[in-house]
Amino acid sequence: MDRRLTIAFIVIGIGINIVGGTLASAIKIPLFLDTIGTMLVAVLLGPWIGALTGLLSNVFQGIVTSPTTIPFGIVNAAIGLIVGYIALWRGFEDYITPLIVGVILAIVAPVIGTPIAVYVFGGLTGGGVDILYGILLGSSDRIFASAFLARIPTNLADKVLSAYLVMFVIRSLPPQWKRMRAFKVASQKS
Amino acid sequence: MPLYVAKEKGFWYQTPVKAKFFVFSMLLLGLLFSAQFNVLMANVAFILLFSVSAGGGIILIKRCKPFVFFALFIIAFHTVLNPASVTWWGWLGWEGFIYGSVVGLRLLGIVLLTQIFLMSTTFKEVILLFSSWNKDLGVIMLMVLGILPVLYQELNNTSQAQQSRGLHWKGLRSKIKAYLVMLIPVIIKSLYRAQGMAYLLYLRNYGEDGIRQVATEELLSTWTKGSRLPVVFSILFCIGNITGFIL
Repeated sequence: MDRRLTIAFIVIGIGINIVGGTLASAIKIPLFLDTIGTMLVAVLLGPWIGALTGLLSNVFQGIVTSPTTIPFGIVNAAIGLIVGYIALWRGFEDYITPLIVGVILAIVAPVIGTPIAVYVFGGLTGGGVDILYGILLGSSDRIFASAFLARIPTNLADKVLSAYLVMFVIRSLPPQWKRMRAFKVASQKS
Repeated sequence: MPLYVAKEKGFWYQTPVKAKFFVFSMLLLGLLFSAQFNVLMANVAFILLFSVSAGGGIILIKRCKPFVFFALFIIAFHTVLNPASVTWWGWLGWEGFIYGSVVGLRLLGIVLLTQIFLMSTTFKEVILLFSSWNKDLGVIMLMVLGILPVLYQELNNTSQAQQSRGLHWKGLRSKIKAYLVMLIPVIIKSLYRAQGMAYLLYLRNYGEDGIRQVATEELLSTWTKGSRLPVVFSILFCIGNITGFIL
């Protein structure tokens, strides 16, 4: 039963990532909001399943919509790993953990994503971040540093909001869900 | 526009999916290791020739058009703003232009390769490819394809229900509130749906060697009569580019 439940949750996690990202673009929010499913699965089922969910989300999106999202699957996988391990350590029901997760991811995601973005896209995204990138590039001599710093504000807002959303969902889950492995370990430690 | 474009002729369409993926991976790896402008030009020209001969036509050009505009934007951006520029003509820097051109060409090469792979591969073949690596991976990709329309429909229903209650998204704060109001019910329902999906897998005896073998050896082999030439060429392409990068 566990393996089937794991498969079902990975599927749902990928679906939530895609639907969340599409909704954010549709109502023109200047954030990505496409890692909610990854974080949710990472908290419920553990870091490695969360990482797999993140990676497969980008692979699926790359196959169906734009192939240029595939390299960023590494970033999504790293998000799953980090959120999963923090959830094992502290749980995910208090108000401080999502803030810690958001701040860590706001730095880690650009650290991993910026080399990919610089090498494949010259640091550009085709979005509003390019304006900030252009300003920073014009006032400095460094492409990587400008691309990295331009991504931090968006990532901070995006990851903190996603983490708090996942926290509220976890808090509202019924008790039978809390028998899942990752969640149980976190509860026992607290 | 459908992903897969059916064609009866063309050697690439007859090639087994694993061979296609191997060739695609080798060409992509070789492209990623191309850093010089003239080498990249030659590589992208070769990939374009390969894409056209493999069956890509007007549809391939239409699919690559947005990326062509993005590549031009990258070139223009770096021509004006790249700090590595030393030779200037007014606002235009030569070194920045070369840098932007290298990035733009590489991006176009990646997009061409991916599009020709997707155009010549049915989704069933992609699922079989994933299944050949891990049985569960293929099932996951197949189930995602099935669940997405359901999730979008739920989102649509929630959106209409909330809009009838006065929900709007004018202004950033309202947009974030609207996003949360529309997405949270979808997430909660999805979690319960996951439980149902797991029970269905259990009822179908999934995981107890209950999945039938549907892929033939021929479909999943890399070295067949028709695929030897592309496989050898792709290996030489990759080795050549990596050697050039190192030297």
